[in-house]
Amino acid sequence: MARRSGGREARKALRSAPLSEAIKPVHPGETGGQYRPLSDADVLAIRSNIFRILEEIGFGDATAHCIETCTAVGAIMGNDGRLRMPGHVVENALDLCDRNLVLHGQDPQFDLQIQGQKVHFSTAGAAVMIADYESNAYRDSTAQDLYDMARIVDQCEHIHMYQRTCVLRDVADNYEMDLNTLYGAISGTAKHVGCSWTHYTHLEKSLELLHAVAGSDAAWRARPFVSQSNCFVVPPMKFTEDALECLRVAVEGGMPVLLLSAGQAGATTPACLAGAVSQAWAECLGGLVYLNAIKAGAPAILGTWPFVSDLRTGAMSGGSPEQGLLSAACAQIGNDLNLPFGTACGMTDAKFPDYQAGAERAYTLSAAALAGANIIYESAGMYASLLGTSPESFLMDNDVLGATLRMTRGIEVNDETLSFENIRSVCIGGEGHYLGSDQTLSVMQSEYIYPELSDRDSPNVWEENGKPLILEKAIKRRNEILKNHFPKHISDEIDKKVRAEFPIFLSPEAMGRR
Amino acid sequence: MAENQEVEVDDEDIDLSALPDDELVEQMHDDLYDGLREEIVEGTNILLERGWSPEKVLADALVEGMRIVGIDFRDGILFVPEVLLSANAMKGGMGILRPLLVETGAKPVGKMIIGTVKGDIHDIGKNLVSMMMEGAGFEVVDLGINNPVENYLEAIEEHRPDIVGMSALLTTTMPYMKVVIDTMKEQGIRDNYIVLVGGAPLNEEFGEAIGADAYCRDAAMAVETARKLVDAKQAADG
Ligand code: B1M
Repeated sequence: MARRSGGREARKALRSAPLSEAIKPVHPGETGGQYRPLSDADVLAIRSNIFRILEEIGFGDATAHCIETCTAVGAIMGNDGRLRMPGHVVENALDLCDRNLVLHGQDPQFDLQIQGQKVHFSTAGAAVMIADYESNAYRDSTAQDLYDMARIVDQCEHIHMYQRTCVLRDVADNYEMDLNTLYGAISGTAKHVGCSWTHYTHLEKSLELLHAVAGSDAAWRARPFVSQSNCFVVPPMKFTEDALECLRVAVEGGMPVLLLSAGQAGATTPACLAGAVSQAWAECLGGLVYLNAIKAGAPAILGTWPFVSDLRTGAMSGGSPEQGLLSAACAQIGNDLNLPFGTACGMTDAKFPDYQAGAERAYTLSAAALAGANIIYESAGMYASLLGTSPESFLMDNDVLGATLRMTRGIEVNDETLSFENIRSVCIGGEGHYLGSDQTLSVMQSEYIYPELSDRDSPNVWEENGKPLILEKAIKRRNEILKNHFPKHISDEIDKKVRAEFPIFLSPEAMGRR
Repeated sequence: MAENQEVEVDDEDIDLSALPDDELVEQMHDDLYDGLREEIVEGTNILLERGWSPEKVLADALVEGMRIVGIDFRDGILFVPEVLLSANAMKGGMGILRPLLVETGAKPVGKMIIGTVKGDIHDIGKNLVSMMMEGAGFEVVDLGINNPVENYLEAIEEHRPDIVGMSALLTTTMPYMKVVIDTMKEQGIRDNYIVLVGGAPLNEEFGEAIGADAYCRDAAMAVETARKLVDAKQAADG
């Protein structure tokens, strides 16, 4: 083996380049499942409760299409207007459904395997304001913000997909807003994108746009790089018409669907956490029955997003420990059912990136990740119980997510890592420390993750550096990215074609095209 | 050290009818606070039997009691489920008083219709507002979610409320509040009603811009604003 490795220049280049896959301390899809807030008996009890809710209580407000499709597979429409799903109907959907979901990126290097207990992180929204730290105020979010946040996320290693983070409040027409949310997001990042539509006709047009970007309907269907976040249910146990229509169009158009049940414990799900978990899962499985009745095996992420009510005021609390606990328990049920599963964790009720924000993000995220949630939405950048978002926060949160993934990866134990020989040679006749040992050298980057922005300097160094705050560093990095990073996975030619056919709000210049 | 547990007071021996008026009213304030519907019904009946006017029972015993509940809710002492119990007790008393108030031609506390606007299914906040308003003695007609302008107009026609309340949680549905207000204007009925709006993405500026009488940031504020504006309206109407 060559002993020379190229000296200073080569080492500097190596350190400034991304780590090779083999050395990286964490990867998308690290395996969770270590944290199990429910005992095996608890899981069984909740599982039978879920089936009982579906069979005995059922759903209100099903649409004609939903009733027709679900009763055709054995669901029962009661005289009381509720659609009930006996156990065998649910079991049947569980047999038919897609368990090995791949969420594609526009660039295949970002493809995500949503299965088993693999853990991934996503943004989500839809914040209506930007928590603008520099002006110390909340302001309306815009189309440019959404595109800019996509570009930032494109540069965040540990944010694995970009679900639309904010509402385009400068685009008044809802069709144009839906369309531009999609185009802004898929232009800003080559990672998998999640969006939501206010009306199914907007989705139909959006699918045309996606075909144009993919090259054809077939190319889109082969690698659908956008999924739909769909609030098909209004807890407790009611369907909602507009969303069901969007769901139907998504299934027909080959778009994976996030079947989202976002109850709020104490308000729209029971205040007892076991009841909240049961209802959330019953709602999602109801969605799964409908989805598979439309098309067996249609790709879906089961999304229990178990929010929490602060019972002193009724306000939603995304940063509560119960949010972490509920998500973890839902993940445990998801793992037990072996379904592709997503939840929402990492939100904060704080208004700006402060102590509360960091703490709430970290403890809720850890719970969900360690429990093995396949996708943790809302894992970065969200403030004020989802009302606000902040572009620079994604960069700080990227460190938190990397750290969380590292904890999820856990500790590998084998003869080599147990290090007996290393301990012996250091202690007996060796240096008396491990800093220079071969083993340390060989694992210094693969065993440890190093934050990009968090400060680990001594107080003296910190002072010499001008006492930098993490937020200032994040803002600086944000500015660099926004100035320089204009992804071009969508070519100028396709962009022109899209602009000729659809009302694109941001100018080519605003998206780094001349 | 006192522990934070439910305080159990032996109340078996409180005979409401044996209490003098002022003590009874004070006890009713406590019973409202504790959400005791039966006791409030009993207290209301006792005061009426003693010759109190329905207006006075309403103002001194019930509304005043709920005002205290409102303060402690605002200050984080009472939780939502406790306030809803109080509101339920209040409704018990109102059930007795309402027909009497109509008979005597007394000014009622006020009536509100409230609904979430078209395209919007968020209703947790609206439900909370409805319950708090009922707790404050208002009669509330809840139109539910996803209401087109026709629903508001029909409800106005049918119920003749003092207040038209609208809730929206989406930036995409907020503008619909203006559609409702503009239609009321077109029909020449806007000024006959107090229009209150609320929902997380709204603010005062928006309320003003669409021509609402007030934006209410939360349920407590909705009650306070409703009271103030209904009082002013009743004074203006003579
Ligand atoms: C006199 O009149 C008055 C006076 C005062 C009034 C008043 C009326 N109304 C309210 N008030 C005031 O007093 C109340 C009590 O203090 C307060 O009410 P609030 O409602 O503010 O507070 C409640 C007590 C607690 N808060 C809430 O109940 C709302 C919480 C959040 C998380 C929320 C929830 C729970 C839900 N959601 Co929705 N949801 C969000 C919300 C984020 C947030 N933090 O607000 C928001 C509003 N939702 C949003 C979204 C995107 C959506 N939601 C949707 C669905 C849902 C659920 C069904 C899951 C659920 C609603 C369940 C229900 N039964 O209401 C979808 C829309 C469906 C539709 N067509 O309406 C969907 C579009 C999601 C999707 N992808 O499909 C976002 C806004 C987007 C936008 N364009 O504005 C959002 C900010 C969350 C987010 N960041 O994504 C005051 O505002």
